[in-house]
Amino acid sequence: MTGTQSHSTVVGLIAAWALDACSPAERDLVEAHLGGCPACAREAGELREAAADLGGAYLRPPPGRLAGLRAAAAGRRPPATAVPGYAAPYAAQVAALDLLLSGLEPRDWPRIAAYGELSVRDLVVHLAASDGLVAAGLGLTVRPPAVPGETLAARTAAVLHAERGWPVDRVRQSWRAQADALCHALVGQAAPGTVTVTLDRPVPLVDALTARAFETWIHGEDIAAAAGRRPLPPLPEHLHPMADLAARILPHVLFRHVPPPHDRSVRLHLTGDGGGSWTVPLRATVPGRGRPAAVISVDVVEFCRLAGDRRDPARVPVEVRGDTAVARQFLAAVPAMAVVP
Amino acid sequence: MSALLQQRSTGAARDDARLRDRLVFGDETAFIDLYERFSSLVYTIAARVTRDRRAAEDVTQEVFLAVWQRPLAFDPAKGSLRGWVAMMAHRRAVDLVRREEAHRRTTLDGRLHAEPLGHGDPVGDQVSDADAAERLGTALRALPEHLSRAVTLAYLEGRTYREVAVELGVPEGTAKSRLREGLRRLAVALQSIHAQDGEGP
Repeated sequence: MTGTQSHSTVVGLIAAWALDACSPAERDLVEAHLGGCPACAREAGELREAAADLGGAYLRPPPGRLAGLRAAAAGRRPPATAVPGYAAPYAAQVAALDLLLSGLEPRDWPRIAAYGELSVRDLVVHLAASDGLVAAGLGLTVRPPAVPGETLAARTAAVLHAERGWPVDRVRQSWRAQADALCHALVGQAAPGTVTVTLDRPVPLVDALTARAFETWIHGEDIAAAAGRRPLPPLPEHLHPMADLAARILPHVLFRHVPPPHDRSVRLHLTGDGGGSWTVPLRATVPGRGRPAAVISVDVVEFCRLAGDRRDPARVPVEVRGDTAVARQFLAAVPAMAVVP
Repeated sequence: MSALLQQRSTGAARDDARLRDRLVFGDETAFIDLYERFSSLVYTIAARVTRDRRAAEDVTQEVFLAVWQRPLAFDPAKGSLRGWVAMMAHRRAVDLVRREEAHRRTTLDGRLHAEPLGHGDPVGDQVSDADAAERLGTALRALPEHLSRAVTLAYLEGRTYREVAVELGVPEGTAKSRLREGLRRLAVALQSIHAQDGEGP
């Protein structure tokens, strides 16, 4: 059927479609057409909204059904595991990635998703490996057993080896089960602010969980892209601590990339929901003097993707005031912080 | 559309997108919010179409489980969460009715919802008969009989437009155009209702 014929047919069917009063074949025809025809899509939307009211005055559903429904929902798809507030971004990213993974086709798992060599499956194993170092740092038993002083790369290699030949469902369930165990262990931490875990370097537990959330999000976007799905940025309240972590790590790496003098700072405005403003010294050990050398405004989601080494610093839309050269050197250094190992 | 209405609908679309995203991130409180916002809507549609308390409960449960399992199937750019959830409820209810047609249909009164349903309603207590619902009833009654009958046969009786045509003894093309004309008039009337009420019932 040509586009014009299809359009005139669909126009006649839209109301019937909105009332679920056409055949399955006609329904498919209408829905296929709506994607490419804004006029029909608008009418379809309006008629759908009108149809929603045709049930008339509300009836009260039987009371007391919500508890059973929640249990049924958790059985179909586990919710984010309950955690202390600082770990909520991590638990949320785990739940969202699990949703994405559970909807993948078998052919999606071998697709190359990151660094030109890691498949979707490899990335899930890699996430499990990094999570495992945090879990082991909290005293949990992890498999294969963690070796003291194990690097992330060595840990990833060890888990890849241990899980070779596993069906992808088992890889996913193993990753999720360990993430949930980690979340459960956090509930028992009386003073998380005093605990340190080792992720190539000693990291406060609270920051480690934010870093795990960050990496889970970024690799989730890698996987979504590989599978042709749309990326979904974190909720603003989860994005903010990730951006804050990046802003706090930066002074530890900038001095290697920005020429001296290092007693300067950059004012960073991260725009959009979850953003904020930070004054970032060029070197952690040197207090910045006076006014910032440059002021950079950039979208908070794009900044985090840049910090995750998923954007080209020369191409991220930014607004710069002050010393443009320092601003450019600063932006070029952001991916080097390796917030996502 | 007035600037004020435009602004409100943008805000509502943001709220819908936010609730959708919280569901994606596995937030159980979002699931509770979803249920509190839409359980009456979903149950009402399911009950009116199936006219069976148990079937309506099953449809309601399946709709909420489906949203929880696939929240990204909702696209805020295409319409409201309310309209989408209502669509899922209606589709499931109609599918069920069509499967069990012979057992379930006892009444053929196509104007069911144009009458007050509070008394002797087989499927539940009416929550609200005021405001928007009443004005909806007014809007429906304001439709010419041949339009409201076609729309209610399709939506509440679960008939296809071909069945509507047979029922009303008109050509299929006429049935389709009556459905369109009736629903369009209702859409216009409902837009003004929602403009007065904010987000609607």
